[in-house]
Amino acid sequence: MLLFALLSYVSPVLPLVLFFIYFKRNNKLELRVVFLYILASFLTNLALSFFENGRTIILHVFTLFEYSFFAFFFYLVIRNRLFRRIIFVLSMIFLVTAIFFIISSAKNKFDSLAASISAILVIVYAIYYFYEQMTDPKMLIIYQSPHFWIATGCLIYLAGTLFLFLFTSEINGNQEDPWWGINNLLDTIKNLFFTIAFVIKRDHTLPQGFEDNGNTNMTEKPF
Amino acid sequence: MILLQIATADNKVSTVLFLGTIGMLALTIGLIVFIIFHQRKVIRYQMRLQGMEQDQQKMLLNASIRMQEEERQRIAADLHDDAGPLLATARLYLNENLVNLDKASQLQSIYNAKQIIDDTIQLIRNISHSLMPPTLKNFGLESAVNDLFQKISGSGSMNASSRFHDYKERLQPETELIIFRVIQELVNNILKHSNSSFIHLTQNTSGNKFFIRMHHDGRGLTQTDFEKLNKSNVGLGLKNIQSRLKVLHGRIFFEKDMSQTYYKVTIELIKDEDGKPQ
Repeated sequence: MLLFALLSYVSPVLPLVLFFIYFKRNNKLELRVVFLYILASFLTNLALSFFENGRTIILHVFTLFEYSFFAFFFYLVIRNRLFRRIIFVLSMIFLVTAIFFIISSAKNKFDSLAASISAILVIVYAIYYFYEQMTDPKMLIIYQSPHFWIATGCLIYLAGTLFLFLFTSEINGNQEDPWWGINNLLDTIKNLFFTIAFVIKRDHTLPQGFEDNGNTNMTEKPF
Repeated sequence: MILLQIATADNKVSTVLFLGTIGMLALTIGLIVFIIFHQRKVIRYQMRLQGMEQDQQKMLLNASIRMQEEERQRIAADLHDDAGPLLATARLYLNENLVNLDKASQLQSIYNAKQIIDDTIQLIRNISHSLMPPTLKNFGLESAVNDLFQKISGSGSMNASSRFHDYKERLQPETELIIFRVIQELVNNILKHSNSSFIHLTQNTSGNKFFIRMHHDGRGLTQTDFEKLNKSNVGLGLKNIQSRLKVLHGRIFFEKDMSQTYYKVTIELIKDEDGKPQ
């Protein structure tokens, strides 16, 4: 379990470094937002190991930051104006309520509800992003887009840890608990996906296997 | 390893957590895999469509080139076979020996040469008119179509009539020529293949669209026949119609009338900001 914890602690370094190495292709607002999120995540991990007493408050703050970064990322990459407005309104409601509950509730307890709701909201945004990509008539390979890898990373991490957040009160906070191992493993996977997003070449040509072989048989339909 | 440790925990919460986490991960991975495969399928489908469109474009281009070549050959043949011999004959009448002939013979030769030159002028005028009908150039599409239909009716083989409802001002000369050529080709096809007793053409507009409709009571084409012929190597005239309409961003529809008695051909063009077909 400690190995996963260690991996989770050091894995943000990889996307952080690669973001700078490929800065030219990553110099976009949405990717800078992700970079800031990874930096915040890395600093939070460091803070958690230094400040044993303030762990809960650090986690509270990080939950809010995490949600804000992801929501802002999807706000930037989703094209539908109505859905962007929905993201904005939901984010405002969520942040205000979460801050209110954090202030009013017990300060030594992880806010399971806020973390779960934030995970559900981001999952919804990611699914909508994928839906938008699927219905986009433009011919572009989805996995050649850094947004795809970031959305995938978010989705896998948050979907995998949703039940963990929901049942936080039932499991102990010890890093040796296998459940936290899952969190750490998914966090590492998420960082790997973010790394792919930062290094992936934006090649808009079609990959092998997509060449038109002149076969005009139209029996195969996409749906 | 982690999952094994979790699975062995006999706690009820652990089971829910375990199944929930596995379920969520499976759903997520399934969703992503589905998206990737779906997109690949869509791209393949689009590529195929593009390929088909390119093939179609190639066929239209070939048809247009062949049509041009045939037109050139026809003009060359007209000039070579008709104008050439006529002028050669006129030259014979006007040779050097003319001065040695008596006055009456000279006058006869000059008269014959003049007749031949008149015939040649008429021939060249006919060739020129077939290239660009003067009625179309001077008086517009409505007059040119009426003229064409009058000639057909005048032959007595078929009754042809036309009516233009919304043609108050003339279109761009190039547009009128293209529409006229399309009508000419359609009329030619009707005359050649349909065995019909009448052709009726109407023109009107609706919204931002400009329509020309032709009815006839002979053997005609349906849209399926048209598409089949368009994809095959035959039907040069139809391909030519298609390529001409493509220039105007227009479309053509072939159908059988509701009463199953008439065949109907509709040419649909989009009007530009001035209210004229593009």
